[in-house]
Amino acid sequence: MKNAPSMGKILNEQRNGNTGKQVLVVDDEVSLCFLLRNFLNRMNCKVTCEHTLKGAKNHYSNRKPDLILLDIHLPDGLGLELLEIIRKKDKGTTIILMSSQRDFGKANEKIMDKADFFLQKPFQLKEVEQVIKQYS
Amino acid sequence: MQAILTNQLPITEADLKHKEDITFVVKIFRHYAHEASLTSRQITRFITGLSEITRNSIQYAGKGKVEFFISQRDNGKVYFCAKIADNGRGIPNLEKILNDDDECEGVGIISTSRLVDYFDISTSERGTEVLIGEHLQHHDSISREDIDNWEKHILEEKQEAKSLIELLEAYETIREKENKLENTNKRLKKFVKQLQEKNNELKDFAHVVSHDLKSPLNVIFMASEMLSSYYQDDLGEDAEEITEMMISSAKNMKDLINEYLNYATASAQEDRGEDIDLNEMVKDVISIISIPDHAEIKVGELHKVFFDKIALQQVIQNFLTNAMKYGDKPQVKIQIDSEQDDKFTILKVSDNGPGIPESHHEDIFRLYRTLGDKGKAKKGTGLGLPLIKRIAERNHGKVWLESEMSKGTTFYFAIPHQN
Repeated sequence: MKNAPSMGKILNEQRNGNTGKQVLVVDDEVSLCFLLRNFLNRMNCKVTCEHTLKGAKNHYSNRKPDLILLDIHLPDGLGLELLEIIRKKDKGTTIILMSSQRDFGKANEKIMDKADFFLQKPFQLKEVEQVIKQYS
Repeated sequence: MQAILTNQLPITEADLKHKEDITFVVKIFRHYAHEASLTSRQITRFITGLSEITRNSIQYAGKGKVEFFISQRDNGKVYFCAKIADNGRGIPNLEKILNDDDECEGVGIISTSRLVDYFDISTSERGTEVLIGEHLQHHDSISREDIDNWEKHILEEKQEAKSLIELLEAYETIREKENKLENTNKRLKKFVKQLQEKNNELKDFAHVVSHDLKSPLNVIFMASEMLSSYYQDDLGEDAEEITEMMISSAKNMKDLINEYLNYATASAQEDRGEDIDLNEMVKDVISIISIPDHAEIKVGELHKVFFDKIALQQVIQNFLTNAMKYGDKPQVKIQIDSEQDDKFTILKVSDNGPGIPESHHEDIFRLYRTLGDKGKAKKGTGLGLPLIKRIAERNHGKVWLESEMSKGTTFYFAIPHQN
């Protein structure tokens, strides 16, 4: 697991920072998806939100995103299932796991070998921004 | 009438008053008869006669007496005898009875006289005396010493029987207690299982609650941050301040949830003792907590202890963050020392803070008590000291404090020596 980058200030010019990435946000919290979409759009990312494991699987099979923000606990299963599916054939997609479970990364090193980063909820925008920039 | 028995050697005697005495007398006879080697046939015959005659004494005279003795007849034969005597009014028609003329009365006397080897009866207005005896075929003579030996043997057997009864009673008592213990153990196991289940439930509950709280908190965090970052121009000065308040409260809530989880799981986790150099540990803790510029920590020479590493880290970290959080002087000064007595190594953390009123010295270790003026925004969760107390109790340690108002507080954490 990689260390979290140090937090920087969110500057207005980042609105125009152009990553141009296709991002898939998978979380059953609709409000969180809305906020992440709003924030990532400002970083010039094209964002799709899915709220279930099934929806995320379908989306991935149709259109491969560059980066996935993936919640571990979803209403119809574990986000880790999607992580396993993707990593079997695809090492290129950046996968960032999200969970409110404390120390998930430390306790699940094998899983974290397959993922690129772990965001501990509740997180701040600065953390999201740094992670996206680091893996873009 | 047969010849009177001579050379009497008394064995024992018993009074006759109640029906139960007959049973007692028969029992005495049995003991001696066995010792005297009477045959079982002789014993049965003698007991039948003895029972008949003693019953008559109680029935007709109200009371009487039995004397057992050994007698040697002039023909040289040795007899085991019993004399049953009463002070009743005698048997007026004895002769008739003995001659078998009276078919109705005295059946007991007649049958006894026919059963035993020796029978003699005498009666008058002052009472009746019956002698019955059985020939001791295996003895040419009986001495006083022989009878003493019989008695000794009987007593030993009685003692053995008594011991056996006592042993049986003790065994029964033990078995009863074992059963009780087994039942108590079963109940105890059930309680422990229930307690473990409750503990797990509580742990799960803490996790679920925390998890469920964290998701909406994440939204509050992000929403307020976005307002503050991207909609700053649209917000008035008040709205900006309110947004900062939201962010600050969300951060507090995050700390609270994490500390609550620490507290809730602290009791469930199992401590693993290991050797710890307090000097090293304090250095490590200081390196991971952020120490403000106005704070100064001095560390004396500390002892080595045996304790759970993570738990002790939590203790030291909580003491230090509390001292810094609640410090009210321009320069926060913290001193860490340790001392030892015969039972404990005591870690001391002193500060130059506002002090804690004595009325709160115990309260402060209870859940959900944060001291201080609520108007002043001290960010205490109220869980740090209860957690320390829980850690102390779980490890047979102690925690307490000494404080002087406006001068400072010293917290003591006593770690028991390893057995």
